[in-house]
Amino acid sequence: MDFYRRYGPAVLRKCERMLGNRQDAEDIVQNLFIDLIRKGRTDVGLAYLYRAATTRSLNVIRNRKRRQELLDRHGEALRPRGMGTEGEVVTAELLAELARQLDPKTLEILVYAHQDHMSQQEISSLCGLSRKTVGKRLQRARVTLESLAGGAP
Amino acid sequence: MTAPMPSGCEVSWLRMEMYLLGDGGEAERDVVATRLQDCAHCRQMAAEIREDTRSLPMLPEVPEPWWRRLDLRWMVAPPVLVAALALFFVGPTADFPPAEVAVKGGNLAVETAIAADGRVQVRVTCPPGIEDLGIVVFEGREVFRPLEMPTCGNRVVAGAMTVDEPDDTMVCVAEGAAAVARPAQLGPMAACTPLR
Repeated sequence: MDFYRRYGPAVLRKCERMLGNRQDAEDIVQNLFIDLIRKGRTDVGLAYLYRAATTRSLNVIRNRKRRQELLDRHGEALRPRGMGTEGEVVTAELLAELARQLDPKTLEILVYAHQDHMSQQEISSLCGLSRKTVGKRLQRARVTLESLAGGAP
Repeated sequence: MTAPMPSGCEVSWLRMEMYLLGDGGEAERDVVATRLQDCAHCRQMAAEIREDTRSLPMLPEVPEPWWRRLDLRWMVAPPVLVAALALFFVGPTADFPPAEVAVKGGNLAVETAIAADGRVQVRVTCPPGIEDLGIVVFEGREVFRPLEMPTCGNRVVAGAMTVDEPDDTMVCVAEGAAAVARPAQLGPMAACTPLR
């Protein structure tokens, strides 16, 4: 439990930044730490936890997108209310849109660069990719971002 | 996501969190401490973390795996020693694809292989007692250090890294993270192997 108390708050803040939603962030953090404790992997550091939390948060965002599509198909009446502030929803929505257009690794890199404010060198170390690869993937992601901003599909 | 974090601080959230937790090496701590002195945005970032005193959700009681509750050190140490020495002298078992070249440096030997998904597997063979390993990857003219590094004891890091130019990649490990801090000065105590 010391492991959870030590790193839990940082991982929770990270997930909340990505999801814009405290409840979803808490669910991810709880499940992540429970899984690690069950496996006896309480010796991992914060960098590992950041990556695991990022992957899980992106999965939640993808699932949200699917849920949203279902809601759109089945009517406004089922739409949930009060899902965080407007800015937070925009963030999560954009991530969800990007999740449809980018491969998971590139999306992960984009989150590190734009949301966690990591340098390419830091992402390179965290993901085990060369800095050049990180740069190329970021370039690809930015093209997609720009096309989204311009309203292109 | 529409814009980068407004912090304007050159230190990422991860590095700042690690600094405030007291994690990371001394050199890294010095870098962040200097940034905190010089940069108001970084101080704001640190304050935001410090001021977040919201409580964590409760975790249900999770039993640790049974093997974590036992003190196996004295039972496990002799077989591990024998296995490590056997692997050190005899070589790896068949479950790890043998690399075409495995070079020994100091007390270490490193092997690499490319898995079906394109990720690179790394295995370091070394005698017991080495706690701290450093790894550095030379890909073309790029140099990078994966965070997930192999530990001594022949653990295979299945997805240590991905590279774009496997024909022009060299993986080196050395005893101690500091030993790979200056890749240009890697000495004969580093074990290096080309990827192919």
